[in-house]
Amino acid sequence: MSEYHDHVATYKKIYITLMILTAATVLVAEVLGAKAGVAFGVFVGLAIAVVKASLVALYFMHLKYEVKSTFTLVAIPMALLLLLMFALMPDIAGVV
Amino acid sequence: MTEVATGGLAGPRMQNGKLAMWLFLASEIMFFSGLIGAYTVYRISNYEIFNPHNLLWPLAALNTFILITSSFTMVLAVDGAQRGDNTRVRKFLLFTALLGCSFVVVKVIEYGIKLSHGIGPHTSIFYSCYYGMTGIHAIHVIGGIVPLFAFWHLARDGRFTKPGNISVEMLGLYWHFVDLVWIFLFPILYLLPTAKKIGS
Repeated sequence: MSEYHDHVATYKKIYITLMILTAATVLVAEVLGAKAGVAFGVFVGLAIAVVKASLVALYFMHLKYEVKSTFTLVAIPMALLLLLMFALMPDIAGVV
Repeated sequence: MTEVATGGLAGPRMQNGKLAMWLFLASEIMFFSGLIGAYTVYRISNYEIFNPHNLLWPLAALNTFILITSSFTMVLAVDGAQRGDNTRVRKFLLFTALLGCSFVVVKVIEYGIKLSHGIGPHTSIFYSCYYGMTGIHAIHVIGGIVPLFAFWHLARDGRFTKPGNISVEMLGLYWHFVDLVWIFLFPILYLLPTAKKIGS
C-alpha cells in the first residue's frame, strides 16, 4: 500500500477542465462546425476527445502516479488500434 | 511502500488486482476499437445517411455531464478508501451509482423518443450503429452500477478502508474506462459533421 497522497484539489481541477472541454466540443460542433468545414469539425472534435480521455486516464485512473510498466499495458492495445486503422484504409480508400 | 515479493525484478510492482483490471481494460479497448472501426467504414461509405443531426445531442450532452460527474465522485470514493474514511467511501459510491442510474434513465428516454417515431435499429445502417454502440456502452454502465451498489452495501463493515484493499480502486478503473469510452462515442455519434449536410 503506497502512502496516501492528497489529490483532491487536482481532481477538482481536472473535473472542471473536463466540463469546459465538453461544452467546447458541443460549441465547436454546433456553432463553428457548420461554417468551418467538415475536416476542421472532425479534427477538432476528435482532438478534444483525445485530450479529455488522456486527462481521465492520467489523473482519474492514476496512470500518472502508477508504476511505469502500466504504460506498457496501455501502449499495446493503442499500437493495435493504430494497426486496425491502417487495416481499414483499403475499405475507405475507394470512397473518399 | 510495502510491495509483495518482487520476483527478483527491481523496482515497485503493480498489485495483481490492478494488473488484472488493466489487462481486462486493454481487451476492452480492442473491443470498442472494432466497433468504432466498423462505424468509421460504414459512415464514410454512407455519409448521406450518417447524419448526426438526426440524433438528440442535448440528451447525449446531458449524459456526458452526468458521466463525467460520476467519474469525479468515483475518484473521491477511491480517495476515501485510501485515506481510510469509510463514510466518505460509502457516500461517494452511492453518488456514483445513482449518477450511473441517471445516465441509464436518460438513455432510456432517448431510445423511447426515437422508437416512438418508429426509428429502431432496423431503420438504417446508421441507426444500427447508433443502437449497437450506445447499447453496448449502456450495458457496460449497468455492469458498473451493479458492483457500485454491491460495494456500497458491503462497505458497511469498513472492509474497503483496510490497508492494502484496492477493490474500490479497481472498480474505479473500470468506471473511468466506461466514462472514457463515452467521451469518444459522444462526438463520434452525435456531433462530428459528415461530408455533406443533408436536409437538416
